[in-house]
Amino acid sequence: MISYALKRSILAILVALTVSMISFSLLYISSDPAIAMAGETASDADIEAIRELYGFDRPIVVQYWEWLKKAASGDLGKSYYFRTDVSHLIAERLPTTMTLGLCAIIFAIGLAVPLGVASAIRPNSIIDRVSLFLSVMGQALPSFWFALILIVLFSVNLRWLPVSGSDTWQHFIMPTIVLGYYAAPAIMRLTRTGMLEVLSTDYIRTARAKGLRPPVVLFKHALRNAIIPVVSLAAVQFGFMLGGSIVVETIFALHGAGFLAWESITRNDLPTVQGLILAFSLFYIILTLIADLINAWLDPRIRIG
Amino acid sequence: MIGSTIGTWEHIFGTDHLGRDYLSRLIYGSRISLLIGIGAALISGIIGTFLGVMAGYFGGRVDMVVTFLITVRLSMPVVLVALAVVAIVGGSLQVVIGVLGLLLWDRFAVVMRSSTLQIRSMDYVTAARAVGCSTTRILMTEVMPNVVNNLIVIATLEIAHAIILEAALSFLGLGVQPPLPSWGLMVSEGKDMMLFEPWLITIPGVALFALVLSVNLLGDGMRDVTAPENRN
Repeated sequence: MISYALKRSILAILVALTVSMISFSLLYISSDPAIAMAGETASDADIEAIRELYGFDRPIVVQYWEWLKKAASGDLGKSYYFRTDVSHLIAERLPTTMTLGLCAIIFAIGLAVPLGVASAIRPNSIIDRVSLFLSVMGQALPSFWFALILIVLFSVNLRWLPVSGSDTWQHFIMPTIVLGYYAAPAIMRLTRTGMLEVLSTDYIRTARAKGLRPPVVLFKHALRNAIIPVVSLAAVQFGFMLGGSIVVETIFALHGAGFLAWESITRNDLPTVQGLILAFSLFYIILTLIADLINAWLDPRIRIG
Repeated sequence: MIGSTIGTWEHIFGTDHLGRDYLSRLIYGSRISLLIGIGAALISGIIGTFLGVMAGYFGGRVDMVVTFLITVRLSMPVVLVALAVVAIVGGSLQVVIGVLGLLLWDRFAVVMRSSTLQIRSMDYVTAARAVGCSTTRILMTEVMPNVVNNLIVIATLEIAHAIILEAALSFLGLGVQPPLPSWGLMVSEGKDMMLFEPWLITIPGVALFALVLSVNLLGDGMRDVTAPENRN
């Protein structure tokens, strides 16, 4: 177990470094950071001065190394637009996004797992057909459009929920639904397939033959085994939600990291964008690392591979 | 009336805020969505298939490198990187197709790799090697025809994925630029008036939904048709 954990952790660090390298080169090669910093009306002499002052004329590898050294100690540079430390900006905004993501994945799991289990218990029944129908519909629905429709329906016409901002918990209801519904179909289908498989195994038949009551058979024995791949999938979907949060937070004006991403991208705020890419990818990497380790702990066969 | 979705015989779905006929923009918008979807899927398909087949067939170090690349790509926040690149390079049809094509190859690579791994252990591949076929010939005549089924299924799914991503990018203003009639752009242009004219955002949204649904169902259908369970 320890050697598996060690190997996976080293791999994770390498992946994180590679991602930061790629994004650094993408950002700093394809745009001129001196111009981004100086603004559009600066003269050539000013741009040259900035270039020398901040070292933008050095080779890209040297610049990356400098950035990496500072990043390792937690300094991600200063935002061009907000004029504050990028790390502070991100640390400020991340909790909102985390809350949103957590609520969204709980919503998705709460919606998908019961539907999946119900479909597996009675395959080809009406509940099965309805869940599959909903999952197919859910995957085709564009999230930004769904968000606008919800706003028109619930905020304007029915006046049940507030439109934008992040003050009260009601502000989080619609964003949670919009962010979460996209992950639900995959989870539902995986739960359904897993349960169908597990329910036809011998040990479930033994449990039933022993005379255990159906709920006990279902939850204590069947679901527990079927849920293992769903845990991995849910972790992965949670990681993807950071990307989805960009659109959702921008539409609902929630002050989270996704909104910060959109703000800094449209303002050419390169340090913030680079910091956000690092933060998002680190988050995803750590999440999958934890999911893998939990899986390896639950299923000893994985540790040998 | 300009910007109203009241239908007249001249403008069946009304006009948008600049007086352009809505129905024709809708129809031409399908061209953009399909172009981007198929273009991006083509590019990412070529990249992903190449990487996946190489990893699956040669194994060893090649496999390690490709798996590492896939993990790196999976850890990159796609929407964020796509937005950033388009913001810097400028938005246009070609840029969006290129960016999406270079970012969406991971599922191709994963599926092609596992399919190739399966095929590599088959007897007919061993036989071909014993007969003395060159590696290229084996890949072209033995491996590819057998992975092509999975390839088509994944390709249709990625077309749908690319269409949705392009619509989201254009909606945020960092995809295809006006005056191109991308459906995502139409929703974004309509959202300022959406409280007064809800059809302005409903119609392109329903069009997007219908297109993505059809492509998804096509992919599901192909999966059912090509799955080994259905062969006698």
